[in-house]
Amino acid sequence: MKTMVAAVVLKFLGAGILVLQRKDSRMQEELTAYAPGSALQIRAWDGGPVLCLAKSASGAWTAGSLSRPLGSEVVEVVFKSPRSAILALLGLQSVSAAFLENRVTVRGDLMVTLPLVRAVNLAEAHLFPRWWTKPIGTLPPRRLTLMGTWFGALAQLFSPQERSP
Amino acid sequence: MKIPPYFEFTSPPRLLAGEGALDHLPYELKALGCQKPLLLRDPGLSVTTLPSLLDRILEEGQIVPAAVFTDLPADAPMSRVMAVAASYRASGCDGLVAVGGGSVLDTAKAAMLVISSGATSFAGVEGFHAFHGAVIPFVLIPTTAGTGSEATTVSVVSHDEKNIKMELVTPRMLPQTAILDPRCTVSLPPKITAATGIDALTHSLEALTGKQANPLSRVHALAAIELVHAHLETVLLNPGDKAARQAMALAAYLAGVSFSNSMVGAVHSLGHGLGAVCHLPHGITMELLLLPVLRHNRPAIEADLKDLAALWSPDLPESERPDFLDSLASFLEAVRKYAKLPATLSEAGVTREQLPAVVERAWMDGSLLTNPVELSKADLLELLEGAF
Repeated sequence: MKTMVAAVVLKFLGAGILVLQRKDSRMQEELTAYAPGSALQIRAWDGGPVLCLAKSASGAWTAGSLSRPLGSEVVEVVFKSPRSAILALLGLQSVSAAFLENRVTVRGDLMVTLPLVRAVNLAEAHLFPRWWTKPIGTLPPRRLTLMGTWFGALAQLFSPQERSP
Repeated sequence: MKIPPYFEFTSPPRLLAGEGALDHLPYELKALGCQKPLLLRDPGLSVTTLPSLLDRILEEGQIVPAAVFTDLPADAPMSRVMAVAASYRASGCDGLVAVGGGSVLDTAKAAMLVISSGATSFAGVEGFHAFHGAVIPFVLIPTTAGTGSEATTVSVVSHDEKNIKMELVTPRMLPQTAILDPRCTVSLPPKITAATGIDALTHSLEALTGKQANPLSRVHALAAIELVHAHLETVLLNPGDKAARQAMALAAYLAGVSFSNSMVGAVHSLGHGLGAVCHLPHGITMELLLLPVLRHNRPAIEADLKDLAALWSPDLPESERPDFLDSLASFLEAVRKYAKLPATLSEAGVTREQLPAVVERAWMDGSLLTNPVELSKADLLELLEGAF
């Protein structure tokens, strides 16, 4: 059950990030930190479902559920336990808080991790109602409505571009 | 005292502290099962008597290093780390001992991970809490009193080609034993004594006031802040005072334990940026930014400032205690005077044109996440302008 919930939420999170990447300059700015060929992976737990955000040589981003092998261009964030993953992925605890409380591990270059944290934080601010989330700091203001982001994410999920990198 | 809903605390290593502690190095190595260590020695120590003291102690203890490695530049690149690991393997060593400043200890920690993991490239050990497995016997002996590297779960090394610093963070990186002996720091020149002392103070103040502070990191931070306040001016006025030297070494250790378990904040984000763009020594960047950042953070840290005022003025009633930030300003001013440190970024040689690049570097720094106040790029620039 936890695996299914995590897989669905990760898929939706990936779609939300791609929607915001097109519509929100803040998301664009965070994602410009990554060179073409980079892959950002969020894994629910060791061996658990994964979201792989990949930047192609042309600079286009895709979101998929197949991971890439770790290497110099890949940063992978892994939650230490299913409980921590579910808390963060369902927005009950922000990803920033998960980082602050050492609930995650990072494999790869730590110097490019912060833009990913901010990007996920921004996506969570758009995907979850304010009364639901318990951020450790203030959530960034929305530039798309909750409904707008959800519709965009659903459309993204069913679009032909949504594929595994 | 606020207790976070969840926190992790990594206990510091076994500590040998006091004059003569270094003499127990052979015993400690044998206890760890190490007979043929690789000795990593700071090249800067060659002008001191410490290498001959260390040689004598090892000889008396019948420990013969299988190799000695001194080719260690400041902020050693990954290639040096891999060279240390190669030397360890080629010489058949069974443990690692590092003696030196923060940069040498950080190199040793990264090399220890590479050796322990059997990694053939740096990519195999990069990350945050990503290392698993057993580690080799490992002893660290600091010769400065600032970074507290001997007590932290962090190592910073530089990238060979990209000219950037890379961080490794894992609790597995702590040594089994750390040795603080005042004979190791007594010959430090005033500028380095002051800058490293301010670094330790910054570690503890940022650890105390940051978002990730927890009751245990707090206890260590407060102890460090008290020791720096009581002893930094003393060692600047009387560099040969071994008791004060030892107190400063302990302060750096305690500050290391503290920030290693609760992270640092925006002083370090900006400091790392200044180091990367303007090549300023880390301690100097801390000295220049500590006060402006704490003033900016003030609305979120009032309760801590009251505790700190009590710590630094314990004999005064609450109503008569000076504001902590005012006391800190006077303290920093005195340290600057004794050690002839710059008071502004411009005095330190930074140009206004460099500031936007510093902001961009700081914006990528993970320490921003734990600063008690959220900062935008405009805030970061304003802080730099204020310190200019």
